[in-house]
This record gives sequence, structure tokens and C-alpha cells, in this order.
Amino acid sequence: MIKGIIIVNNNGQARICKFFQSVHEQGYSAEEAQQHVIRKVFQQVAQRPDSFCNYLEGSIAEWGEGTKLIYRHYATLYFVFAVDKLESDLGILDLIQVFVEALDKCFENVCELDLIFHSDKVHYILDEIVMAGMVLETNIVSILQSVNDQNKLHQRSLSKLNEALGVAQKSKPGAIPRPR
Amino acid sequence: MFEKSLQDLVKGIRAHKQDPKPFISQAIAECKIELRNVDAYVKAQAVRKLTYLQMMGYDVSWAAFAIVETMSQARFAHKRIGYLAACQCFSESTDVVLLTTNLLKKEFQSTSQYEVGLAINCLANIVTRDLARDLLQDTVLLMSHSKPYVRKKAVSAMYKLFEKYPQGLRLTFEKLKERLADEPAVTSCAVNVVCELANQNPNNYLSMAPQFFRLLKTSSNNWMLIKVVKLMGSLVPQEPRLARKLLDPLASIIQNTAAKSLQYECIHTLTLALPFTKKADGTEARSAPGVVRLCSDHLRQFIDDADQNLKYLGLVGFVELMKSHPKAVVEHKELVLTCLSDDDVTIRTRALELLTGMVTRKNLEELVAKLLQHVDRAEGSYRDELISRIVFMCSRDKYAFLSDFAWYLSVLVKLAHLRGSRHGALVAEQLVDITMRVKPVRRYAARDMVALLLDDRLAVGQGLDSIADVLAAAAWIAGEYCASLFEEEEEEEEDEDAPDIPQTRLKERLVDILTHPRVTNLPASVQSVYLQNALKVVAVACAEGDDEELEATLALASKRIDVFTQSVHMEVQERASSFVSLLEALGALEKKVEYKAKKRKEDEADEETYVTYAAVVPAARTAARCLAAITADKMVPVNPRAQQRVPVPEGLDLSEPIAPRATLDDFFDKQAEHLVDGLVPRGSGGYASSQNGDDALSRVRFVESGPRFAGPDDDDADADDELGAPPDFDERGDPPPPLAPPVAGRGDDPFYLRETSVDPNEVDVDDVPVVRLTAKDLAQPTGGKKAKKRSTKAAAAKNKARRVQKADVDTSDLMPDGAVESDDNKKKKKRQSTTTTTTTTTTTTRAAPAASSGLAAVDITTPLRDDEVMPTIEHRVTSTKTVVKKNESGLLVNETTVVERRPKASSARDDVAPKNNDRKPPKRTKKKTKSKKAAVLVVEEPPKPAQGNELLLDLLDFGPPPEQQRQSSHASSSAAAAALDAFDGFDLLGGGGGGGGGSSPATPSVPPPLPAAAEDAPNGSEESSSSSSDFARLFERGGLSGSYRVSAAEGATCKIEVRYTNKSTTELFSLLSFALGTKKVAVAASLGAGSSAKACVETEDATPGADLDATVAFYVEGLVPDLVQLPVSIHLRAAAFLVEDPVSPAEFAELLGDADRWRSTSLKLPAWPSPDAVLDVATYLSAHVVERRDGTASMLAASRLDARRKLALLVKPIAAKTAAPNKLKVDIKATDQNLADAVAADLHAFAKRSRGNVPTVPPPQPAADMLL
Repeated sequence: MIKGIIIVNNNGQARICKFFQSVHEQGYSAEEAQQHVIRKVFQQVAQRPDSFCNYLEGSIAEWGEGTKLIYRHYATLYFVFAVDKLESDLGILDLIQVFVEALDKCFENVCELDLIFHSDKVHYILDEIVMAGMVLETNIVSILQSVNDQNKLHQRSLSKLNEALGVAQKSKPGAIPRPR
Repeated sequence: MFEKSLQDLVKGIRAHKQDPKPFISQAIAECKIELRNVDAYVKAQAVRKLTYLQMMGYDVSWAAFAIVETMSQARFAHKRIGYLAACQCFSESTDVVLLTTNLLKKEFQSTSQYEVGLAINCLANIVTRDLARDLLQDTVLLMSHSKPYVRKKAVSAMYKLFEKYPQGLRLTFEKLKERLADEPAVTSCAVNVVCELANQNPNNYLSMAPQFFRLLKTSSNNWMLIKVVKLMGSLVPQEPRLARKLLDPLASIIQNTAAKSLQYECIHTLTLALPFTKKADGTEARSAPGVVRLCSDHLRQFIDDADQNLKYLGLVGFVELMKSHPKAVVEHKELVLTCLSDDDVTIRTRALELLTGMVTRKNLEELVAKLLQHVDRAEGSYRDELISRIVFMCSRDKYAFLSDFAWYLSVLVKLAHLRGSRHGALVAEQLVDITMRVKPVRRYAARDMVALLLDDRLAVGQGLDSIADVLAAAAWIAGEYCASLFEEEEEEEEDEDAPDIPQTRLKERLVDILTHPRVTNLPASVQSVYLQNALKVVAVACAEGDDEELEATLALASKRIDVFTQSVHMEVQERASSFVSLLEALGALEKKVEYKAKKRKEDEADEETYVTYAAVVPAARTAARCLAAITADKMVPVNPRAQQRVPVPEGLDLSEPIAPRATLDDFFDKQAEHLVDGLVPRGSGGYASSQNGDDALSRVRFVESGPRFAGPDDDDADADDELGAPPDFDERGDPPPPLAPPVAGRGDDPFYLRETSVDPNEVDVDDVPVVRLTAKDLAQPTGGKKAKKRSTKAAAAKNKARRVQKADVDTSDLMPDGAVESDDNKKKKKRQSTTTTTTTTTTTTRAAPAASSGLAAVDITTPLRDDEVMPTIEHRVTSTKTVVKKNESGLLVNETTVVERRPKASSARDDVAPKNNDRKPPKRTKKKTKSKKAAVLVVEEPPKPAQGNELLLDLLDFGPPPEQQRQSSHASSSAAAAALDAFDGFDLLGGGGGGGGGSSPATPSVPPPLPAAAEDAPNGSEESSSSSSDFARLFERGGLSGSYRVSAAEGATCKIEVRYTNKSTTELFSLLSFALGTKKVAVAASLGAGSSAKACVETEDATPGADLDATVAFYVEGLVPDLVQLPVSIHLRAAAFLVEDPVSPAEFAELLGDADRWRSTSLKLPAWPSPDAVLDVATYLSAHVVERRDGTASMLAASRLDARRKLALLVKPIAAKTAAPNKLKVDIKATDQNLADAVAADLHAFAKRSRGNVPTVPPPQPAADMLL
């Protein structure tokens, strides 16, 4: 089971986070506890040069014993998966690769800015790969297929909305995100 | 108007890098406003922004309801945003999750696979126990959906459902199993789920092993193979035959696959399987040795690989392999040792773990030496890890691998010198433990510790905290075993390796370091230990050594101790004071006062002071015997659980309070005795004395049984003789306390070790005896063999005399006599079983189901019982029957209690109240229900079921309200009174009335602001948005109605009760909510046929007669595609706020006399059919009838809003020329114009409504009858 996925940049700013196993901390709200975990994860991975192995063990107490951080560092971003012992160590590394490739295809040469401005789209892509901590699909073709289909559906439903809203709304700049 | 998009928000946050907080607060405030917008697009964008802010750490739980609303939008682009927000923001404690049940249920039926996918994804993320139970059936159905995309999502979601609702596993597992033979993507998900399940309870899935075995041999999908192999890893501990069967196929995959990940997982599962491959007759499976070789070769390749990840995995693999085949791993020791030099701490830690496991008696010293080299270079937590590993390796299993304690001592001393880590306490504890347990090591330890204490480098500089622990231990060892420093002089000389400590005047030197002023830099607890041990050294100095040294020692102690007697730490001060007092009492020190006087006299010359101490030497010599008592009893390790095991003495009831008086008496009685007792040797009573015979209590007392020595006032040193022969303390550890039985008693004490030597290999480790070495034993080198060569040069030079064998270790712990044996045995047994499992198989413990998880407890191998059925949704909303019943008895009472000021209602009309009944008569007959006669008629008539939706058009008719009538003398049944407590229907944007206004004459009045809408235009919703017309249509088509009433109004606070009633014959899965400003209540998640649901909203700024803006949100499956939100206006009837003002006619006249106060309004009302319309007005306004003249039918009445705002009424009927309905003239006088107007408006509405109750054709009664 995957307990959480965190994408954090070189400065420790979270770009995407998904907590499949919720984290709690006495005296803090769920959001604060999540931020603490993100910070901890960043501190752990950031001090490791790229020459080190991509595994970190038992460093996040909130996710319980036996949680392993498996991460990859691409340019300015760390993709960190927190997993338990039932996930394959090398398999998850491949999965991160698949995820990043899917992002790259969807955003055309993905960069950090894409993740910043379209965090919801990243979530939609991720939802096709991992669902509530269970690996759902690893085949990049299937992943892209469903992501693109949904984007079309998204756009179609919006254009119907545009008709309903009339021209005035349509001309408003930036109001309707243009799917890529 | 121009809302920010998510992109604008992100840009804004980036533009305010320095302090984004104000910007974000602003954005959140904007979102709050946008969420109230009726436009679904605007609302969805707000939710989208909030999802982003949630990731930034902002609490958005307040928007949960809006998220549910967004989820229920029709458009994919909107609902997608809502579903994502739900996944990200909802938690177990989000209460609106309840409302998603029907939403998801509906979404599951969607024709678009992606909408279904969204819903499943959301369910898997937010699932709670209730959701899991209610949606289990639906999710199971989706597992056989026509689209594989839906199937794979449904299959994966099943695990999350099982987690929350374990009972579901047994019900649905067969269906899940079918998915193992599906398309690869679905099969892969099914395997994944079974893999997770098998981790919880492997036994359930053993029967499926052949199926997985087939997958393993046939499939080529690596992702799935990995999961199958993982799954096998969970199963093998349960079934040895499977373990044997797996060897060959897994080995062949390892040899053939190119994928490292699969290869590694196969090796991992093999290492898990290997412990179980032994056959019943104890022989190893034929292929096992080959497999072990294969694994270890491949793991070696992994470690050799340049890829750090593979190196790491190789090490992890070896850790697992070591558990069953340690020999195969030890071969690679050198390789693993090189990993210790790796830069990557993850790899080093794993290598370290591996090395710890490789320890044997033979290689321990070599390995530790290697690790010690690394300690110097290491830093941070890794160094702590390294140190604790070293200590663990040496001390594990009660020093099982340790063959030379003196060597270990040197290791500890080396570790003690390290700075800046947190290992100090650990090292200190080990030092004390081995010196306490291993007698022969004591003299070396004492020596090393003296050297440690003398080491000036230690007590200064940084990292003192860690060192302090070690220093305390060192001081204790040096003090406690001080005497052993002076035994066996000749041997010490032989010992070349001995640390360099001063041989001359050692005791003085020791007292010097233990009382040195710089000691005050150390923590108080350490200072205390120092002082106590300084006293022990003084005691030894008194007993042995030359006079000159003794004199110097005493003088030094006397001089130094002053600093400590003034210590700010209480404990230190007390130790110092008792130090001084004790020695003074024994005459070993001069009395302070005298000393000071002398000192002054002799002009503070230090030299002189020394001289004076020569005088006390003889006294000190005599005192030696007493002082020896301080260290008389040897320390023994006490089991940490000892205190718990002290048996409760017979006759002692711990739960009974001890009589305070008795304690006090006891104290006074005993006091004298204590004073006489004076000094008592340590250990003669007290906890630590285990030799005191069998009486359990004798061990828990502290002072009573001690021998008596010269008291403090007894200057005569010969006093000892009067007490009989002084105890012989020459042999430490065996002080014969006078009151205690002789040593023979020990034989019965299980915690004392018998004095026979036993081969350590033959006995239980807990019973390992202590070989009591005497000085004589030590004189001869232990063991004839030469010491083995050491790894380090320094060690190699060590003399064999410094070797301390394992057999010397005393592994027993002190336990009280009669300690609860059964408990002890149990513990022991448990420990034994766990040690066997850990040594042979760690996998069995792994396989044990986690007790905490309900899922692990589910056994799917037994057939289903009859009572195990698929859960169906139970409506948590009151059902038809209960509501009707309540109407007859409970509900009405409830309502009257809420509206306290209202008089009790008679139940005349209650039995007909058919509002919640699905067998409600069609609306044509319903018109009659407002009068009593008609009511009876309805009851007699067999109620007809509603004939389809078109018959339920009474949009805003909420059924006859529970009628309440005044019990005053004038009370009579009145149609108008029915309107009093009626729920008012919502006015829906002015268009809502259209739905009902035309079709139902019984529609309650529309509030004044929009009076026209009620009259005409059934579909007056042109201006309103599309969603609101949906809503109107819902009302037209369905039998769903909504209504409100103002209840319990007081001052500015009033409660608004909202009621939704489902009048159709079918159940409506709906989502009903109501919002007043920011206050939002969920009224119901679903409504059964004929049932209704209520909720209360409170508002604190109510103005009588005003209108409040509120929002009704509806989603009804099958009727309304979107969740709609409609602004409605709630009219706060001024009448509801009024209370009766019981004034007498005289007072009333007086009130009216003050003309300036009053504002008047008068109005004419069309009369309505009622026996007493005049009284109805008074009832409606809660007015007190002051005077009533039947002749003119006029009436004076008074009412009030509060103490200040009052109302006076004059009501009289206008004489009618015809029999047609009359008119009423009402003169209203109020202290406040607004109030007067509001009341007037209310009365208009009231009249209209009351009139509406009259069946038009034919009128039930002649109008003339109605009047009076």
C-alpha cells in the first residue's frame, strides 16, 4: 500500500501532496500535521545527494513503523512515495518514472511551473495511476488514454456551460482553463 | 463579479512571496462569498482554489458542504473539481460524508465510465464505515461492469471498503475472486487486493495458492508477477509444502528475467520461504542448497552493483537470508564491511544491521574493532546507532557472545571518551552492569574508572551531558570497589596494559578528584554520586593505608566539603552535610565550630590546619569499623520488575486506608527507638539485602533490624565493645549482620546463586551461577590457555591476567522473595517462545495477524451464516410509520413544548393530520381536511394512494399543520386557528409560488414582499436561473415539499424550524439542506415515502416582521440532475414574537391614555369562515382579551413584544348587508410604527390564508353562523 505521495521542490515547497493514510498529530489539525510531514520528508530527502540510494527507512513516525520513503529527484522536484513493505522497492521507482512520463506527455515537456499552476490536473493524472494507495494502472498508454478522454469530457461539459452562460462570460479572460 | 481563478490565486501567492498570508486570507474570504453564489461555475472555481489552499496547509473543513454540492453538479468539469476536493479535504470526522452516500450511489449508475470512475475513486479515498456498508453492494456490482476501466477501479476500492467494514469481506470475496480471471489490468488490481488481504490474514487465501501458482508460471506482466510473488511471501509461513514447491519456479524466474525488480522480489520471497522448506522428517528440500547459493550469489551481485539502490536491496536481502542461513551470509562479511565505508547512511545502517546479526563468539572482537574504527569517523545519529549496535552486539542475550569482559571494559572506556553523542547513559549503564555482575572484572574496572576520573580532558568542554553519566558511573565504581584497588598489588605490576594511575596516596588522590571544586560544574545528580563515593574512599582510607595518607585525606576532605555544603542543589547539600556530620560524629573530623575557632586562632594557615588533623587519626581508625558499614553490603543488580512482584503479605489489604491515627501513634512510639538506633549499616535492612532469611517483610523495612553502633553522642570509642563483637568486614560482600540468620539461608533463596560451578552451556541462561572467585582464584591466571591474539595492537599486548571469562558473569537479577511465581514463569515461557521464533523464523511473528485490525480477524474459509447478508441502506431518517405515530402522540407534544408560550392544543384535528402519509388523499379531497367535518369524512374514506406524481402537485401545501387551539374560555374550534402554527411554505424566488399557488388553494400565504406571485403565473421563473426552475419542477412533479415556521422566538433570537416532507409513494434519495446566512444544516440524506425530516436553525438578529434570506439546497435523484440552490425568503411573522399581556380593563384604559406613545394603523380584513373570527385575531396575535362586547361583537385586546413594545387592538366586525363573508375592522395601536405595520401585514396574510381554508363550493356553513 502506498501511504502518501508528496512532490516537493528543492526549496521544500509542496507542489502536490496526497495522504492516502491520514496523519495525525496531537494538538494539531489535519492540515498542520500534513505540513509537518511534508517538511520532515523534505528535510530527509534534501540532504541526500543524488548519488545516494533512493530509499529512506523509518523516518516518518506519523505513517507508522516500517514505512519507507522511495523517492526520485528530477531537476527541481523530488517525487516522494511513502510505502509499506507490500510494495516492491524497485517497482515503485519504476512507477515514479511512469508517473513522470505521463506528466511529460500531458504537459509537453513538463516543468515545475506546470505543476504549480495545474496542480489539479496533476491530481487527475495521478488518480489514474494510484487510487487511494492502491496501484491502479502501470501501463502508460492506458493512463494517457483515460486522462485524455476525461479532459475531452471536461471540455465538452464546459462548452455546454459556456452556451448557458452566454457570450459575456465566455469573453472573460482566464476564467476557463484551457486544457492542454 | 470577476472572481479569481486558480491560476490567479497561484500568481497572487507567488507575487506576495514575502508574506502571502494577508493575500491568502483575502482569497479565502472571497472564496467564502463565491461559495454562496448560485452559479455552479463560480462555486466550483472557489472549491478548486480551496483544494489548492488545503495543500498549502490551510484548514478548509468549513467548506465541506460546498464540496458535496460541487460533487453533485451535472457537468463533468464541475463534479470533477468537487470529487478531487473531497478526496483531498475530507477526513473521518467530516460529517457531511454521510450526505455523499446517495450521491455516489447515483453516480455509480452514470453512463459515462469516467463519472463512475470519479465516484469510485472518491469513495475509496473518503470511505467510512457507514459508506462502506451502504455502498458495498453497489461496488460489488461495479466489479462486473462492462468497462474494464470501471472494473479495475471497483476491484481496487474493495480493499478500502473491507478495511472499514471487515464483515463485507466474507460476503463479497467470491465476487472478487472472479476478477482474477479478467483482463490483465483488472487481474493485476485483484492480485493487489488479495496481496493486501493476505498480509492481514494469510490463512484465508491458502486455498487460492494453486491459482496464483498458475499465474506465476504463465503471466508475463512483471507488475503483476511482483505482486503474486509478494503474495506468496505472505503465504509460505502458513504452508511449508508451498514453500518447497515455490523454490524451483522462483529460481527459474530469477535466472531468466531481465527485470531486476522481479528478480529481487523473487529472491526476497525465497528467503522468506527457505526457513520452511525443511520436510517433516527434518531433511532439507533437495533444491534448497542450490537456491541458497543462487540467492546469495545474486545478492552479492546486487551489492557489487554500481547502482546504490541495488546495493541497498542486496543488503536488505542478506538480512532476510541471514535469518535462515547465516552461514551463507557470513561468507560475505568482508563485502559488507566495505559497505560501512559508504557515504550513504541508509546503506551503512543496513550493513551495520547485517553485521550485528553476523556476530559469533569467535568474531565478536574483530567486528567490534572494525566498528570502533568507524565510530571515530561517524557523526550524528549514525554514530549513536553505531555505538548502540556495538553495545548490543556485546551484551545481547546476556553477554552470550562475549568471551572477555576485560576487553569489553576497554571498549566501553573507549566509547566513554567520545564526545557529543547521546550514548553516555548507555555506556554508563553497561559499565555499572558488568562490574556489578562480573566480580573478577571489578578491580580492572575500578582501575580504569580511576583513570577515567583522573582524565582532565573529560570534565571540560562541550558535550558534558553525555560524559556526566559516564563520570557518575565511574565515580560509583571507583568508590564502591575502591578496596579492590589495593588488593593483589603484585599482580598489578605484571599488568603492563593497566592504565597509568598514581600508585602512591591513591586514596587521597581519589578524594581529591571526587571533591574537587570543578565537580560543581557537573549536574547535581552526579555531584551527589561523587560525594557519596568520596565518603566510601574515606572509609577505606580509615581502614587501610598509612597514617600520613589518612591524615592528608581527612584534611583535604574537610577543606573541600565546604563548597558542597553550600550547594544550591538540595541533594548535594544533604549528602555533603551527612558526610561531614558522620565523620564528626565518629570523631574522624574535628567539629566544625571548634575547627573554625582554631582556624581563626592560627591565622588561617593551611599548613597549620593539616597539623591539627594528626589528632583525629586514631579516632578515624576506630571509626573505620563503623564506616565500613557504608560499603558493607555488595550491590546486586535488581530486576526492573522486582517492585511489581513483591508479594502482598498475608492479612494486608492494600485497598484499605491506613488509619491516619495509627500511623501517627506508631511514629511517636517509634521515635525514641530511632534516635537510639543512630547509625545503621546500609543493606542490613532495606531492599537490597537479600540475605535476611525468608521473612518477606524483613526485606521491605529499612531501619529496624540494623545492628546498633555508637550513637552520635557517644564519644567513647569503646562503645562498640559493649554491643558485642564488632562484625568482621574483611570479606566484603559477606557482612554478617547480627540480626540476620547465617548465610545458610541463601540456599532457599532462588535469587541467590548456589556456590557450585556449572557448565554455562548446560543451564538455562537465567540460572547461570556466579563463580565466586576469591582472591586466591585470582592469584592464578584463569584458564591455562594463552590469550588469543587481539585485533588491535594494544589489545594484543594485553596480559592474559586481564582476561575475564564469560563464566564469571552473574546474570541473575535481584527479585523479592516469594515474587509472584506464576507470573514469572509465564513471562519466561513467553520469552522463550519468542526467542525460539526469532532465531528460527521471524516470519511466523510477521504472519501473525495484527490484532488491531478487524480485517485480519475475518475468516473467509467458513461458509456464510444465514444472518450474514449484504447490508442494505437503512434510512436514518424517520420512516412513514413512525412519523404518523408521532403525529398522533409525540410530535405534537414536542412542538408544543418548543413553542412554550402557546396553549396546549386539543387533539381534535390531530388524528386526521395526513401530511406525512403516503396514503394521503389526492388534493381535491384534501381541501376539505381543514374543517372538522371534512376531516371526519376523510378518515372514514378509505385513503387512496397517490396516483402518480401529477397528483402531488400541491407544491407549497405542507399538509394541515398540527392545530393548536386556545384553551381560554372563549376557545372554540376555528379554521383560522389552524393557520396559527402552520409551517409556512418557502417562497421560491417568487416563482415557487407559481408551482403551487395556482394548483392548491391551500397554499399558505406568500410573504408580503412578493405578494403578487402567489396569485398567478404558474411558471413565473423566467428570470430565475435554470437550476431554480429545476427546483420548481421538482415541486411540481414530485410530492416533495418544504416548509418552515418560526418557533420559540424571543427577543432577537428565534428558532426557525425547517421541514421537508416527501409526499410521493416512492423513496427519494435526496440531499436536503437549508442555509440561513452562514449557518447551514443538513436536513436529510434521503427521505422515505411519506416521511418528513426536520431541522432547526437559530438566528440571533431577528427583527419581527422582517424577511430573512436563506437558501434551500436540493438534490433529488431522478428528478433533479443537479444540486440546486435556491434563495428563499423567510418571513418572520411579528405575531410569532408577541406574547400575551394580561392587563385589566382599567390598566388598558390607562395605557391607552398616554396618547403620545401610540402609533396607529387600521385595516380592514375580509372575514373568513370561522365560528369566531374576532377571537381568531386575538389568538393569532397572542393577545389578551381585555373586554368583549357580544352585542357589537367588538373586542379590546392587548399584547406585547417585550416590556417596552406593546400592542393594543380593537377588533370589530363591519355589519354586513348580505350573507356574504363579512369584513373585520382592526384598529391597531402600537408603541412602534414598524411593529404596527408588521402586525398589519401579518394579519392580511393571516386572513388570506384562513380564507383559503374555506372550500369554495359549497361553503360548509352559512356565513351568518360563522360570525358568532
